[in-house]
Amino acid sequence: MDDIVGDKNAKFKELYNQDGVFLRQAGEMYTPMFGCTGSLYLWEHISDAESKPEVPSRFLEWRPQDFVELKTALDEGSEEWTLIESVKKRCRTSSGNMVKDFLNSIGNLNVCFSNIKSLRCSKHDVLTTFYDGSCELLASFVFPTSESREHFLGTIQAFVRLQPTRRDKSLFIVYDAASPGFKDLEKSFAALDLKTDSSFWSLLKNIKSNPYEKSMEAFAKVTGYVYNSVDDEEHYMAQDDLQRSISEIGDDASAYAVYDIPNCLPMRVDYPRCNPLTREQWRAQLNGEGQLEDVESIKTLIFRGGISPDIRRVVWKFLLGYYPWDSTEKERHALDISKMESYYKIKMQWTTFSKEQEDNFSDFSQRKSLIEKDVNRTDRVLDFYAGENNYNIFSLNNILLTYLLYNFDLGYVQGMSYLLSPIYMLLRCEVEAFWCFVGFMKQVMSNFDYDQNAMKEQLKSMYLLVNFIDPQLSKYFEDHECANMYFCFRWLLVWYKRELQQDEVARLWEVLWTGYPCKNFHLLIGVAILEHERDALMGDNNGFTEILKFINELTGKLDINLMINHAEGIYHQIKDADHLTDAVRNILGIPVAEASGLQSKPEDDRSPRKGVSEPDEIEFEKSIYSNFLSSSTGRLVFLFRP
Amino acid sequence: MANRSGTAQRPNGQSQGKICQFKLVLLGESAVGKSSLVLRFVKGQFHEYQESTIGAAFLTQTICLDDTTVKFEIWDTAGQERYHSLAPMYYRGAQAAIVVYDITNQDTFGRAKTWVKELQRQASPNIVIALAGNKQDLANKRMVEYEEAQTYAEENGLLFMETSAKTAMNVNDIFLAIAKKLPKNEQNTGQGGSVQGRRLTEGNTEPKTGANCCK
Repeated sequence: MDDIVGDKNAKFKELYNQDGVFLRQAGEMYTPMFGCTGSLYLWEHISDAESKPEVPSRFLEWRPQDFVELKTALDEGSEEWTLIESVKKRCRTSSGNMVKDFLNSIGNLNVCFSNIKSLRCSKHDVLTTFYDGSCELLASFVFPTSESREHFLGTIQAFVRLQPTRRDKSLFIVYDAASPGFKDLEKSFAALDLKTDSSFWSLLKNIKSNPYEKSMEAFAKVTGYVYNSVDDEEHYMAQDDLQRSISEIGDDASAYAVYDIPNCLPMRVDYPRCNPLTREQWRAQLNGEGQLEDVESIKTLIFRGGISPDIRRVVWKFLLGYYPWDSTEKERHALDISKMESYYKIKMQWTTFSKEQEDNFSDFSQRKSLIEKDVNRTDRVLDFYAGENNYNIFSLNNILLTYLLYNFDLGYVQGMSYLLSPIYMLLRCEVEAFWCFVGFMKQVMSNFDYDQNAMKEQLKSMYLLVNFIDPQLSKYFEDHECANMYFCFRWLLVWYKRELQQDEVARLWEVLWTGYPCKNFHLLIGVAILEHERDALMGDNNGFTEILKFINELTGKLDINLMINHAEGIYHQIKDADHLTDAVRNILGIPVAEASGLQSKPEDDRSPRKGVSEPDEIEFEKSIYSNFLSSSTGRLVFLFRP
Repeated sequence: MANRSGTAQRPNGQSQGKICQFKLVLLGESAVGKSSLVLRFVKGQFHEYQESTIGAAFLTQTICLDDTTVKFEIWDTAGQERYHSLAPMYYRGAQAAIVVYDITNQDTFGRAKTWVKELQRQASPNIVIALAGNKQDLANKRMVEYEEAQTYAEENGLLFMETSAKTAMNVNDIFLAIAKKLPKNEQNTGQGGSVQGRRLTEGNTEPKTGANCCK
């Protein structure tokens, strides 16, 4: 349908039309019409050669039908909206005077669509509010039904993208899909690069000792920072967040719906696996002194394809810290000797215990007996460990007992024997296997802590990653009381050892030991498996028990190369996602400064990460958040998430 | 122990009457044979070098008892003290528990008593607890006397049997004894009607225990 609105020469096409839409609120000039019902239209200008440039391409029009008082209570939303109104203090900086002229030429309420920078969909009613670039309310409508609002949102998504804000999922930033700034839209608070203000971060040091004052001080700084910055999309967002945070004092955020507009992930790119690192490739990297020339490229090759079995013995010793990556052959010789000496020194500590001494040392004898029991049932199906009086079982026992003395605080915990078994099977030398095991344990030691917090944390991270990649699956877990992800416990504790064949374990572990392409890549392997099995997991209304059973029964059925391949694809999707959150960023150690498309740097060099100091930032967020929530004043809602 | 009457058997594997479903959890020190008991009960198998349980395992087995089909949802847990903090998740809501110890190891009996105490204090109030003294096939290395355990069980109102997952001795019986003791009221009844009962043991490798299973 063509229509002519305003300008007699301009042609408009109706994109949307809905009767029975209440006008809740708008600019002051429309006050007499507040609470009236009317028809809401969305018009699109059909441009032709004669079109005047000042005619907006799309606009919302609301035409009053009658003046029936808005009697609907709108109770649950009312408080919030009063507060929003109270924010209207700053002068309006609406862009484009031509729009105002255009609007003034028409009697009905008109809102130029390009002026709408954000919109809010509330939960209990179908109230929908449009804001301009300064968070000023343009218009607030009540749709007759939720379907009509969904239809409206569906219509506008043909030409704009709605991005929920991270802190408040009922508020959507409206972005022209073609806008160049869209990519960077979801940049976090951290990306505001507050660290340039050194005094700001110096507050951190005092925040624990003097939480309330320091938090207030910090808050004031943030406020100042946000308001003093100009013309930047990120700052606009922060401004908007802050504005609302202040306005929503005492607000109940649960009054808002999470209107389900899926965040789009970038397309999954296939990263094909390559051939394993060969002896030739390895040798080519060694200089005259036997030193590796280019460690990064070696690690990349290992990550891409693993290691050829014939040089695994050597390379694993580098991966597990037995040899430093930059060592010369001569240094490695010396290390072999010193490591042998120290191993036997530690070993001698327990081999020389007398029976009586052992009886008086129950902490040791209990652990010793547990090691014996576990070793006796570790990988006995493999020929290497099969049969009675197998010498290799005896060696596993020796190594674990020596480790027990080496790290008595940790002790022996079930699962460790499974981490040692593949290492010993490859190296076939107690000394080397011991020190390589020590290297591996350094990476995963916290998994075996008494409080199990590290495991719980990983399971939580796993959930967050699944939620990011496959919200439908995470929702399923949530709805079926398995959001704790305990069914992944075994995967994470022994790095999929129990699900895979020995050669597959070796392949996976060497890939993971490179530390590429990001921190906690082993979690993404799990995400890849869950995603791969999603249909089976969600079928038959499975609950926790069925899922646990299903996961446990995946043993021997996984294609690990495919899962590594998927996990890498997932990693790149996450890294390049427009809506990447800090929580996910932190799990994978993706630096804030790393813009999409850049090659990531691995985490494992133990060097402090360049760029924004994330740990500080996390600490800061945590302390601020907890201090604000716990302070009795509680008058401010801070813009950070927990 | 087992009901030998055979009245529950129906032609074509159809068992009539009600269906009850129970959550059962196995607890006990590591390497006492929890997983082996379950494997024997559910699959009729025994592995000399049964791998340690990491996290937890879940299995089901259905048995028939007179006119009732009892479906056990069995949670097999990791035994080591270190993983104790995960245990409540598994025994929460359980109607039955088998606390297992190794008759050749006195410490495991002590640990079993601790589990019993914890269950009595923290699990469902009406939980049926059975005490299993496993590895009865190693009776020549016995460190826990039968009478000692029996007295303890009586004092605490526990079912008690010495079992051997290796020889299958008393394995089905202890599950049957639990099934008998569990209240088969409406609460535990499934959708009703008849359900195809599974064979009690699939492997057929064990001696007949007289368990009353569906055919």
